[in-house]
Amino acid sequence: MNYPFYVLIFPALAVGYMFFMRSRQKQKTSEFDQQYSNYRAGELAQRLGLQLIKGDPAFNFMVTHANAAIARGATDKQAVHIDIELSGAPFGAPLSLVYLNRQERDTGFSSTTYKTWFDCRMFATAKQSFPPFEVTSRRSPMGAIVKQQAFPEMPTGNPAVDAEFQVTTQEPGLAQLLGQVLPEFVALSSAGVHLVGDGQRVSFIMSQTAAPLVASALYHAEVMSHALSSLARRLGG
Amino acid sequence: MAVAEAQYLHQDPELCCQYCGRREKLPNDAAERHRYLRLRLLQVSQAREATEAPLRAFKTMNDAWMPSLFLVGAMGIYQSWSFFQNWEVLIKLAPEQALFGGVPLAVMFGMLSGWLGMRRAYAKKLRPLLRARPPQAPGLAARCRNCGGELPGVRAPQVICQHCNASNLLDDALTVNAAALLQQEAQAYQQQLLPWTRDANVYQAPLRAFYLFGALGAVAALFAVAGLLLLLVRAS
Repeated sequence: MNYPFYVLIFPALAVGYMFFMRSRQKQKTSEFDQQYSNYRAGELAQRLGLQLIKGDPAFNFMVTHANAAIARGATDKQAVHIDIELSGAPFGAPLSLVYLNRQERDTGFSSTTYKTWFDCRMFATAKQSFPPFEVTSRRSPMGAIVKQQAFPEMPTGNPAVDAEFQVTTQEPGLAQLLGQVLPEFVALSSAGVHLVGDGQRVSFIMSQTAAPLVASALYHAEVMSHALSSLARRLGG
Repeated sequence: MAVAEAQYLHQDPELCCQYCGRREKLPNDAAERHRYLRLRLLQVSQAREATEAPLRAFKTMNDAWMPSLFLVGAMGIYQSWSFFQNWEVLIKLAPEQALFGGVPLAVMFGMLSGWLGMRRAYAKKLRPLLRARPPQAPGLAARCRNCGGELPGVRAPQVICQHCNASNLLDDALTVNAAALLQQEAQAYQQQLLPWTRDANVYQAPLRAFYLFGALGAVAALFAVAGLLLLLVRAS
């Protein structure tokens, strides 16, 4: 049993380092949660002039793993379920931010199945209906944005907007109108823009795995809320 | 009446009397214009933060450096000790095997030199960009590097602008080199206003191009003639 001393010392050091880093990570998460406290649901609602209709006011959109349920992850007995809704009319048009993240886990004999439901969008409601459309950034930080609807691409008449966004709709007149309103969304280009107009509501759709990411997009929450409200007013009075 | 700033974008600012405290709403058009300006300031501020985002990674690395230095240093010292203990064995090995023994040392010194390089690049390239603008006259406040607004008078290495939230570094260069910094700022404004003053060398470009391309053409012609002569000599 004549082992060199480092055979015992190094594993012990590695285990100690692992615990140290784990504790440090928790501390860092808590610090980030504090640093970005203005992205907690309650404070974000106040910033945007919205009311928290449902959900945990302490849930942090920027540091989601600060939430105990998300940090723990889904188990067979307990799913992760975060459901938040903020609503109001800060700039005249009704505006809402909804966030749903549900994860279920089912451990079988030879496989584990995860089911995930995710929906995060900020939407403004127009007073009158308008033709449906979809707008996506041509360049986004995480690859092409997947479209939800199959409309033909229309020129907006604004070359700067056409260079930045792909506007798809069946109404040329609507594309011209979007050419006037979309410049405000250029500020969100660093995150990526995905707008869907369903005829009554204009939604800015966010994702947790692709552009526009929730954290990157909500970093511009004020600009987004103002731009969506302006767009809804222009579209539907 | 002074404008009482609205805390959030959706709120309208109010006019507030500094003597009796009476508050009045701003007219709608003025409130809308005020909101538009706040929105623009917010966008500029967010664009600046996005541009400066890599600085956070630098700060994180800088903060984590001390514990990492102890860990890597301890490993490096042990490796050095082991390396020198076994040098007699190492020199008898094939070079590639002996070199393998030096890899951990290379990693440690690589991390150290990388950190020193990072510090140097920060000091040389970024520090001047993050420094506050000097006061326009002695006795006045230093100004924000981003919006040019007056900074609060504090004794700290870093101060946050109350207007645009940009962080500004305060160092002795602000007082020692105030005149030079002000002159640089004036030059930058002048270059923005008068683009033709940006680079005086650009006016010499045609003349330089004449000499450069003339020389290149002459050399190319010389080679071509020499080659032709060589061919003719060989052919005859």
